[in-house]
Amino acid sequence: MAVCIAIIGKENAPKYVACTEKDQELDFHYKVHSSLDIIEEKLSATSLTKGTDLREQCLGLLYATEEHKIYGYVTNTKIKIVIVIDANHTGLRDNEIRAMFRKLHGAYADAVCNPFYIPGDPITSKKFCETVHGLLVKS
Amino acid sequence: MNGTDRIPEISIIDRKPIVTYAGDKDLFLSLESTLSSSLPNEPTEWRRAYGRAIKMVNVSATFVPFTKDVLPKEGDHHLIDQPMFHTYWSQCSDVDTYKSTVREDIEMWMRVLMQYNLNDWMIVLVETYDFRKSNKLLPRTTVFDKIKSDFGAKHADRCLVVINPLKSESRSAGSWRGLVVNTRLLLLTAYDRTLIKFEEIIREQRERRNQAGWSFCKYFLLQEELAFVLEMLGVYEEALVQYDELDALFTQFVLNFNLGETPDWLTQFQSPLDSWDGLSITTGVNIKERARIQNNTTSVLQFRNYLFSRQCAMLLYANKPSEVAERTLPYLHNCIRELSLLDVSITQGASACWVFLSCLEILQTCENYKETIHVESYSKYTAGIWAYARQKLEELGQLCGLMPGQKQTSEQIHTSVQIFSGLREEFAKPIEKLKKALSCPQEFSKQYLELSELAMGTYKHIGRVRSARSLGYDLAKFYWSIGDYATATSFLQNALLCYEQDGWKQLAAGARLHLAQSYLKLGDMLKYAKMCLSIACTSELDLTTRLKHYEEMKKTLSTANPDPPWTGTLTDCLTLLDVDIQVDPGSTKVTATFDVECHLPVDTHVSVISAAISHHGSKNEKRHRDSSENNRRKSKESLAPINPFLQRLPLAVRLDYKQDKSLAAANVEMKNQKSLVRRTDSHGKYRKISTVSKSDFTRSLVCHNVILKPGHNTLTLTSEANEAGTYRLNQLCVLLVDKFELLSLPHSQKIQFDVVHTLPTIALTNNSELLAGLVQTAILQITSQGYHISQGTELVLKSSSGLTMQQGSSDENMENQLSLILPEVLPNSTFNMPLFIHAALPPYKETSPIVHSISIKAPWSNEEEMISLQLQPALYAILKLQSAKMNKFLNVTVAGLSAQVIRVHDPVMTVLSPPGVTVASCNPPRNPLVVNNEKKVSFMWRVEAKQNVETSPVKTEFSLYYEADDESESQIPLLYKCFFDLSNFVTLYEVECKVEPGRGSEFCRVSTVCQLFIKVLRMSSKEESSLMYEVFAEHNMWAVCGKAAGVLMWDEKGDEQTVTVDVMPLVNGFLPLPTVRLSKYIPANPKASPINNVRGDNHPHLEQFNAGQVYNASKGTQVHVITAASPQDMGSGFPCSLHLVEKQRPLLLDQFSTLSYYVDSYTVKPTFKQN
Repeated sequence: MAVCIAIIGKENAPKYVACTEKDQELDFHYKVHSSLDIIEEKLSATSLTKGTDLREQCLGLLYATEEHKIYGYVTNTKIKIVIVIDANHTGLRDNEIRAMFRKLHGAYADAVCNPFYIPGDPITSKKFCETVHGLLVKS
Repeated sequence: MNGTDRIPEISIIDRKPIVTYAGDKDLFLSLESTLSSSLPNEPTEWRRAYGRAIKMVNVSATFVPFTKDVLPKEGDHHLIDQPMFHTYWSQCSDVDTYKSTVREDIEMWMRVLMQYNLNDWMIVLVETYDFRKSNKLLPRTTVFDKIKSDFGAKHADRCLVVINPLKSESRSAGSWRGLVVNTRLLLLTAYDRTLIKFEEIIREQRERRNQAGWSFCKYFLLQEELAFVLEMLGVYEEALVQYDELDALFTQFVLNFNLGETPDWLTQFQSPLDSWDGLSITTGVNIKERARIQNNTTSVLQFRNYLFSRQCAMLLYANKPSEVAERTLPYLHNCIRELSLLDVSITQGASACWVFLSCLEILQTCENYKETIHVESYSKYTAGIWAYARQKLEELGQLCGLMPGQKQTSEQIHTSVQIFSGLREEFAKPIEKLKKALSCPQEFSKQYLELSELAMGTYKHIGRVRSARSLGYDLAKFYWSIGDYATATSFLQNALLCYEQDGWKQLAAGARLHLAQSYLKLGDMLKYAKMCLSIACTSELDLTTRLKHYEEMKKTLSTANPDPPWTGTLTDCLTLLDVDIQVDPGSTKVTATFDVECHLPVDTHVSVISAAISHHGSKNEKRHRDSSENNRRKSKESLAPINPFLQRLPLAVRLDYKQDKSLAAANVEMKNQKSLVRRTDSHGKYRKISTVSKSDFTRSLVCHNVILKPGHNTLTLTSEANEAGTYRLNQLCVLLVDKFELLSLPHSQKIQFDVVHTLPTIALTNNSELLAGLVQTAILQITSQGYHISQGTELVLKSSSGLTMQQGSSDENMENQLSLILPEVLPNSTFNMPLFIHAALPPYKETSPIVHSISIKAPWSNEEEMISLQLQPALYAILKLQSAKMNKFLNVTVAGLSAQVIRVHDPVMTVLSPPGVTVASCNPPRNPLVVNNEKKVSFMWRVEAKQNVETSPVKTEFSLYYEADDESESQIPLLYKCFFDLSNFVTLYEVECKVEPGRGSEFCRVSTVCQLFIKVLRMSSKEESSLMYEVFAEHNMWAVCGKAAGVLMWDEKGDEQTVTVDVMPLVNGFLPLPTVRLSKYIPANPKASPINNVRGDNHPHLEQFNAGQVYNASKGTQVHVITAASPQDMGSGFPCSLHLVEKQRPLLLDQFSTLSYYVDSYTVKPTFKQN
């Protein structure tokens, strides 16, 4: 399961970052921030080639380090979802990652559907947090 | 490719498929070179079984003599060493010879092949072109036919005849070509057949992978044979597939390592590492490594190195260096993971060393490809490899104590020695590099920085700026430790900017902390103070850190004691939420209430907060004078950055109709979606620190000595009086500790407010309607608004002519001009002053209000203020001329126009001209009379004129004293004068009418013709000779039977003429007589020339007389008409009937007169008639 989940807004500012290890939080911030490079690269690559299926929101593996694998997902409104997986957790299949992304996307959509939520603000929804923490590895 | 000379290896790519030859060896040897050179000339389609993709293969071959030794034995899987195809060569041309020897030889050969179960053969008969042979008429059975019938029954294509190219090249081309093509095809078929069989074996082996005694190494070698064959045939992608399959299989084994039993072969891979040589990319097969696999003595790293180098070789053959780079990081990560999964004990630093060496090897390999297309494609991956190598070098540096600031301990030296002990390949370039790097700290730093630069450069090149910045941030720490603070600072600044731009606050906070320390080290105290302030305002950090930096900033300020104060940006400390600006309308003092969010960690004393304002003209001054709301501008929304998400979409309904006008679709659409969907660029939003400059603070709103609390604060800034105009709120400046000026960035929104001067207003009020002709009391009301009116201020009032004024309290005369001295009037108060005004009555009859104006000159305004007044005249008089025969009377009616009761007395009428005319009063001496709008008073004078002045116009003057009938005050009587003119008022004609019953009748009866006698008297013989009379009768009373109009001509003699007109009454009762009107009759003038004459003179026309010129003596006379005569009436009747004749004789017969002097001589003669 994931060790870090991040929701990043249209303008690349983080809206929500959660991870299992509090003391590594900053480290994850760096990783997720760097992954934005690759997300942008992939998005510009798809926008350049015409006729590609724009509905494909899952960007797959963005990059990997010795310890972690970082997966990306982008919604049609350019909200980015990044999941960091422990590299030692090898049993995870691609479709499981996709399922996680879809679940997060759904939870995000629910959170921003709240009429009291101001678009662009960090997400503070309790329900959303519960969903995210459900996807994070219990350490 | 390094160490190619040293490492023993075999090159598969140089190997060729092996083909045996049998039969006539000399013949074949003579043809061999031709054949082997022509085989690879053209690619051949390799059609494979199971519908696999067709590959184009360039077939080449090595020929060996056919012996039993070369033939593959059972269980021998070295496919590349085995002959796949077998040929038999003969040049026998004689059938008999064939039958005797060759056939037997072939049969023997075939038998051997059968024995080895080999089906891939070919028999070639080489013929010498015989010119004569073709001339033979009947071809006999040839040797080839025989061979075909003997061996090629099933395989006709395996028996070929060729013309010896050595003997006659030109003739042989066709047949030779056939041979080459056939050989290629058959050879590939042979391979296909063999490989299918071989794959079967492999599959079988793989199925047994979970059985005891199965060894992956053996299996690996077996499947690699297949890869070799494919590589030999030049089908690198296929060969790579084989390696990838092996890779996946091995990975799976390692992953499943923890689950269930560990197979024996895998335990070998768990043995402690003694060698961590880096990856070595070669094109050939490293025999040593392969032998290790064979002997099952390889380590997991060695095995992986071997496998990956083979994969790389395949990729490089396929000209895909970028894929090599792409696969590198996953490969390295995977190996590291496998080492830990398999629990392999490793020397400290060994894995880092291995990664570093492998990275360099890959990077070196990539660098050999210099074409742009390759560079572009592999750069995407090499950046990561560079970064990884850098990371590992750092790790090694830490281990060996080579990082700056570290001192190598003996233990660390030992570690480095240990690391080198695991390196066998002494001469490889990466190892040399590593050794050099680990030799001394200087060399290490140099290599480390070089790698870092390369990694960053490549990241930037491929556009991964964030990764580059992150790396730079990391590198800054290194520069920091070597004491190069300037470089570190620049890296940190870049990183901070990048994090701020993306809005990653936590990362930015971290960068700020480092940057602050850098500035401190650099001794840049201004920047240090700024950064400390910025940190103190960073809510992401914990409070102790913030407080520490806050104190640090204060300390810095007190030590540096800068003069003039330093300037910094305010953006971090304060957020402006709302501004409410109020302008005092009187003093024009501006008060601005700022709602700010303070981010400082503690209560902060601020000596001065000022907000610059700039003046922008005063064009709106007039317009806003009276609207107090305009003095106040709220700008809540404009301050907060507009959230694009919350903007309302300009949607419009669009209805699409079908052709039959029925609705096809209803849509909601946005006309200009581009402006909304457009990405708002975040660039330019942030500015570098220290770019803020102080703007003009000459006009500003100021507030002194404020305590700024963390969180929400309300500040009230004020300014002294300002001149009127529009102002714009500019920069905000907070002076911290007297030494640090914090300036806000220019507001993105325009916040404007208007300052207007509101002057006192003056109004004139009165309780009731103002009347002209009487002294009226009005109230002058001065409203100071915001203005302070000092004592002794003089107001100068000027009235229009006919209007006089007097200050309420003074005893001075009523004047046209008045100056008033005002007492002190405080702002926003009202001062009332009574004012007497009097407007003269006009000397003519006037009932509409009289308009006057008062202009007021006040010292606070340059312009005079005009107040207009409407005054209703208090009274008026009108004159009417009344006549009695020749006598004339002047009747003056005086009436009021308002409810105000006015007393009038002493009316006097004087004739001004001509001198001969006088008037005599007919008015009884009376007490004063009262008039108002409901009461009128009439006065009468009799005109006495001498004959000679009768015709000239008469001018008279009427005067009267009046006063308001107020009981309260004693009034001074006021004089009212009025002038009247009279002309043509002398009586010229008198008319007298009479109705009499017809002849023989006693009474006028209904429907009986009566006679109207009209008697006209001429009063003066000088008058015109012609008159026209007209009879007008009420249609429902009279019917005029005779001539209703006629002309009367006068001669010199007679002054009286009588006309009789037949009239018939229609109703009974007292009927007024028909009216007779006289007019001057001007006959047509036949003499007048038609040219000179005014039009109309040619026709007779009428001219009216003036009032008074004709006296109607019988005006108002009535005649009694009784009902028509009937027998009944005759009998009964009235006891008494009223005989005519009441004679109404009004004395004054002006027909408009209604009232007043009525002299009646009303006589009724009752006549009683006895029936």
